[in-house]
Amino acid sequence: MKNQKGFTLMEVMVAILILTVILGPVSLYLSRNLTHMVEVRDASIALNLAKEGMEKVRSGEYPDSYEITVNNTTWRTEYTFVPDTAPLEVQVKVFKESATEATTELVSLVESL
Amino acid sequence: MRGKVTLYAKRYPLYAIKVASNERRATSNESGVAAIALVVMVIIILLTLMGGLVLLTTTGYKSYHFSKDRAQALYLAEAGISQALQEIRDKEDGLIPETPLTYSDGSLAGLYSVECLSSGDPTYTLTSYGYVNKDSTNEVKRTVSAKYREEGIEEFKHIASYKSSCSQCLIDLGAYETSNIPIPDMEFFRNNADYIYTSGFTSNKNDNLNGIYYVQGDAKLSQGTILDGTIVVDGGKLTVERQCEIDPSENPDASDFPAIVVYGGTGNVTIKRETKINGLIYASNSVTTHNNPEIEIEGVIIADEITVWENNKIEYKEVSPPGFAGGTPAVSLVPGSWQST
Repeated sequence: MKNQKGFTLMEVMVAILILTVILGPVSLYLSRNLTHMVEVRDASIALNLAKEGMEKVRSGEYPDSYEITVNNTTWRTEYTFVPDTAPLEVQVKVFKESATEATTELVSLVESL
Repeated sequence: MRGKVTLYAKRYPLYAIKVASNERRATSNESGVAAIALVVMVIIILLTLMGGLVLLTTTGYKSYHFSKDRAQALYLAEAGISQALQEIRDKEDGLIPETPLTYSDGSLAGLYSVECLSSGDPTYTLTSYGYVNKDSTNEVKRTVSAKYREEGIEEFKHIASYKSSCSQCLIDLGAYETSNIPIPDMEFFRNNADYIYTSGFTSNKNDNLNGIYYVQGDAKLSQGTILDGTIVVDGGKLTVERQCEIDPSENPDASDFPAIVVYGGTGNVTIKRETKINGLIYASNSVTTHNNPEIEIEGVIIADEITVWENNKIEYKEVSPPGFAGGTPAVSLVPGSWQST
């Protein structure tokens, strides 16, 4: 009777195989999703910073680039005023840390500053 | 079972082993099925949890993109308003067809368009639409409405009822009609006056005057008078003879004051030839200049009737003087016009 309790090696192997076959791709997908979650969180922070930056311009400020730290991450808001445009075209880009590619960007036209 | 095996073993030892083996296998098979069922259950539970997580991430991702598109669409609509205002100021109709705006990498941010309604007066109603992903299932549209009141020509007739042959001069200068005619605060001027005359004032020929003059009754600046300051006439008229110069900016105490204020009484100002005035001229009734190209006025004329001539040189000066409707700054000047604050 003692021997009848538990699983044989073969059963365990089969179970592991099934788990591996099914959960392997799923865990991979899950891992990607977790990465996306971080990206979405970053993008949301960047979007709020970009909106703040755009509001500064729209309120008549002519701000330089500036940095802000959120949860130990430094974000950089950069402005580009497209020359020879009337109304003035302004691009607000937000970068994470020292990234060269903007996390998010907003664009609008404002009356001359 | 053990009892059975023992019983069989006593009689048929080999058969007993076979039976026991078969029975054990049957039990083992049942346990395998249980194991698979357990695995399936675990998988289902894990998949459910993971599905929830994936759904959460996907929702967050969609939510971010929706927020981004909404924000961008709003700024596109705002861009449309800015563009329309620019057009109205450039004397265009303010109607903007669908116009694209791109990100720094050249990709399309979205479109904006503006409808502009003018009710005939200087008030415009602007409705601007910002689109992101237009004509797709993910289209986001934001609308911004704004009312714009143009400060300019239309409002001026109230203070400038043109008797001049050169009403166009006033229009060219940005003359406008307003129901909010600034009212000079005579008490303010009196309190700030350097000289107060209570029964009229006439300067000597080629006089050099300096300061803020406050005159009750009629006043006259004789030929060649140079006034580095301001003359305020309370309840009378002012005549500025030929070759006079009035320039408050030459006097530090009056540099931001108007040049001439005439309020009450006949309330008329007459400016004769070869005269130069740098500053605001206010008359509660009328301002009349001679038809002479050597009259130069750099400032603003505010009066109920304004008679200027095409060959006068009049330029607007965008400085808001104190002393109107209660002090500084009771009125503020916008380019080419006055407006109440």
